[in-house]
Amino acid sequence: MHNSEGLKLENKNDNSGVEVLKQRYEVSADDFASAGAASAAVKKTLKQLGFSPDFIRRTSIAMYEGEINMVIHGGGGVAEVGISENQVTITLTDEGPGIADINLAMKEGFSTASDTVREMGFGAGMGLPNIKKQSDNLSLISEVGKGTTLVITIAT
Amino acid sequence: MTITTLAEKLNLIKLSGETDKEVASCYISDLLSRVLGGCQAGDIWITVQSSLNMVAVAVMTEASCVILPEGLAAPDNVIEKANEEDLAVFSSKESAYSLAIKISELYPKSQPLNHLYT
Repeated sequence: MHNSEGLKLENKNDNSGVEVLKQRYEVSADDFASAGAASAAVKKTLKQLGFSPDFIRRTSIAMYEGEINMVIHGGGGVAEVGISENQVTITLTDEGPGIADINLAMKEGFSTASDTVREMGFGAGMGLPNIKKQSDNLSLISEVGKGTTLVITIAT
Repeated sequence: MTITTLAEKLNLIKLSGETDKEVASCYISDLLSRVLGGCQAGDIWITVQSSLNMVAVAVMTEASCVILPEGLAAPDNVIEKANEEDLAVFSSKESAYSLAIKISELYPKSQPLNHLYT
């Protein structure tokens, strides 16, 4: 898979033979001004690689929601993205307070966001449900006091 | 219908963006996660949110443009970011309700245009 600017998928990951382009982004806590920068960068990469508009849109929305969650709840974190011809895998890792009740967190409308965050338009309790809706597979591992890892897989 | 036609018909005040995309349907909400879940590619998004996050959400959802109702403006840094992203942001003196009625009259058979946006 190629693009006009020379970006291409390379066999960088392991011995699986699957071509993967890997990207890593630091996400800062409580930085709402630059929140979404990692998602925007991934979106541009996917466009350059020539993926379909629907796939790019689903990936962008899912990753943005995850990125915002790390900004609001996770105390910042790291976003690692692996792009292959068939799918994108987004791994979001934070060392924040963790999620006490994952089933409750997955429920539409449930949110622990502060009033300040709600005034900015977030905290509707739709983040994780939106990510689930846009993705093909979602893995959420969280431990209270240790942090949260969210792995989002979206197939082309 | 394109953004330029929409702006002319609704007397919108342009704040940013030179793009002239096709517009599809219309989506109204101020809760950003609602918008991320509900706004479709090509939609005209009407919102009172005028922060940098508004720009990010419009870009992620592929909204065709944003209209700030009731005479709302956006801060300079938001306009600057919207221009960087080539996102058309408009202001209107009218309410979201009034804008939606007029958009409906202009484009009653609107459909999402996911295929047009990348």
